[in-house]
Amino acid sequence: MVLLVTSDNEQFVVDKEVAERSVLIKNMLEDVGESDQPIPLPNVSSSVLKKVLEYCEHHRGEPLPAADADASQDETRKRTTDISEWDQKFITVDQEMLFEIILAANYLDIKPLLDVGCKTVANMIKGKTPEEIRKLFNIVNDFTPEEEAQIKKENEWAEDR
Amino acid sequence: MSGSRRGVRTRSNVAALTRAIILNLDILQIILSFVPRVDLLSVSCTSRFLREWAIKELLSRPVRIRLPKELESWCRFFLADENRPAHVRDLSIYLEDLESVSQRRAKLLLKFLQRATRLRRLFLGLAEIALNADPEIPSAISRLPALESFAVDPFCRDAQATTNEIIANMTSRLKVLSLYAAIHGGELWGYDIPRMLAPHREHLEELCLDFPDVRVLELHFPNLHTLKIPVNDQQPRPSSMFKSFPNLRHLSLFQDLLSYDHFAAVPEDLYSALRQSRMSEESGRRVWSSLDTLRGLLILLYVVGLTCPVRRLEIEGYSGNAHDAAVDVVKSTCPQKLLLDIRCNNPVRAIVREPSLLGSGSPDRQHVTHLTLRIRFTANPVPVNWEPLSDLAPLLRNSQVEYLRLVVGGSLVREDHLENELLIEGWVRQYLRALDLDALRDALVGATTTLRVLVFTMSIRGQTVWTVDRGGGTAKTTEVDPVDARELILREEA
Repeated sequence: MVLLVTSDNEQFVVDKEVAERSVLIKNMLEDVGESDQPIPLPNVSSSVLKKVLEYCEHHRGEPLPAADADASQDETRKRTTDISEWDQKFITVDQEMLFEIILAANYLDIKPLLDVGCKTVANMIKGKTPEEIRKLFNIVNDFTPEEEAQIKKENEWAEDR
Repeated sequence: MSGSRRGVRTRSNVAALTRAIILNLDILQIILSFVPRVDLLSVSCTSRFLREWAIKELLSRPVRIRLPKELESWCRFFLADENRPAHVRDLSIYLEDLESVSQRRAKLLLKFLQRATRLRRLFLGLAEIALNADPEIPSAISRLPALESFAVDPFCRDAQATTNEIIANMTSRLKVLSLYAAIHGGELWGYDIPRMLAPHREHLEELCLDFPDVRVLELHFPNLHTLKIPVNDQQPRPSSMFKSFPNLRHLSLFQDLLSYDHFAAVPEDLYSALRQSRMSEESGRRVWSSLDTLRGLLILLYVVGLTCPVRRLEIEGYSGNAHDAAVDVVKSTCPQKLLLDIRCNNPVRAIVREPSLLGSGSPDRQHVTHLTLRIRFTANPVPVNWEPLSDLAPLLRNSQVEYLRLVVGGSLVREDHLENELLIEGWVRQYLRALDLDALRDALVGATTTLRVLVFTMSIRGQTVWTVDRGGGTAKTTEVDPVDARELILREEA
């Protein structure tokens, strides 16, 4: 078992196999060797870690993506935003929690969870106008009118196919 | 696990998190990689920062140009910012009209090529359209500094002469090269193979030739791992390929479509003599010690007579009357993974004649553990009361198959177009629609004790994957989520 300590000082006792879905934790455990020392996770709150561990528990035992397989495997996986039924239910959370899960998955280096979160954000973008995307992500339009005219022309070229 | 407490949710929390996500370039790039092209353009209109990253993502994707109008639009888009051409990695131009490129469009393409400093892959279909559009285009291609992969598919032989010069004078060193024959005119193959390949031979990793040009065997390719080449009754022989490509891992053999059908002229009883003579040439370690993949028409694989162990064997054009040849090929290569592409046109014969196909002939040698059967129903006239797939269960008895995939459809079955009814003959459509998949699954799972994954990829019916759990003495099947199923298939078939 592994003891994880979150940013709000909550402790989680977790199966090593589940905790090691995180490459960060796996590497830390390898570095410290056999030890009862708690692993601090200063960038993850307890509510988010609970969700992350739910994901890791469900996917326990599944093959992990190979570290050197990123380039080729990513190319084949990209472009599809399909999410499995369980993952879809898991990631149906409010926007704040979704973003926190993505940041935690990135910090903890859990690539499949990061992909699920990023696919969900990509799906939120699909079919939206620029104005709707701005509103969704609190983006400030910093283009000048001249730049907007140029962008419109360029994007017409890109769409013209 | 202890309990948890959510913090107070506020608008400013969400705004801060949104900033954290968008400003984390690793995360932003992953999100954008999943956004479709048309939506990337919408993202690019939101702010300067997001435009920069959305355009980078857009430019990093493969560009496929088929219409002259697209060529002009894309070139204008690329050239609107001087840095953009340098982001393009993969470009395919396959214009469909030989007269299509105007002077203006040719100049735009030339300008793009002169700035495409990181272009790694270039495919030119009906190549003369692009190559003849401007006299400077061939030399601009030769000077592409990062080009690693080049494929040329010309309409007539003239473009091959230009291609000879482009490749012979190339600044970069190619890792992947595909040369296709011309499709128009008398002589269809005019590549100057030894001269054009000489500068690249040490770097080439993949080579595809559309013609059995034996001059390629005059050179030595120390790093070539993938070769696709047609075969006639004389050449190329495994022993001569081994000399030229000593580190080959993947070999695809296909019929020489440009000349007459060599094998039609060879009496069938001579096939085994040809095979024996090839096999005798392989003694004394004159072929590879093993291959990862061997792929080709059954008759070619049989005559070529390769006897080294192969991890994955793909036999195309299997039919029941050539069953013994297939058994010989499987036994001499002992594959772990076997794909049989079957044209099923005889209603009175089983799809695969005998179960003997799946054994290596010896308990000490590798058995087939992964079997894919691509079954194309082509029988005509329409059979009555034919239940062809019921023949498959006996095939599995006494086998050691752990992974079985059935890809089933009409003569043009395509795994990526299962729903396209136009590709399926009427009776096949009716047969597959009425097929009891659960009964077929149970019959196949019950036929062997080793099966742990079963995949049906069927026209009309789509794809279904089951895992088989045999704990407790009975076989329990569980359907896999379609998204996870795709990953599972990729892993098993790798």
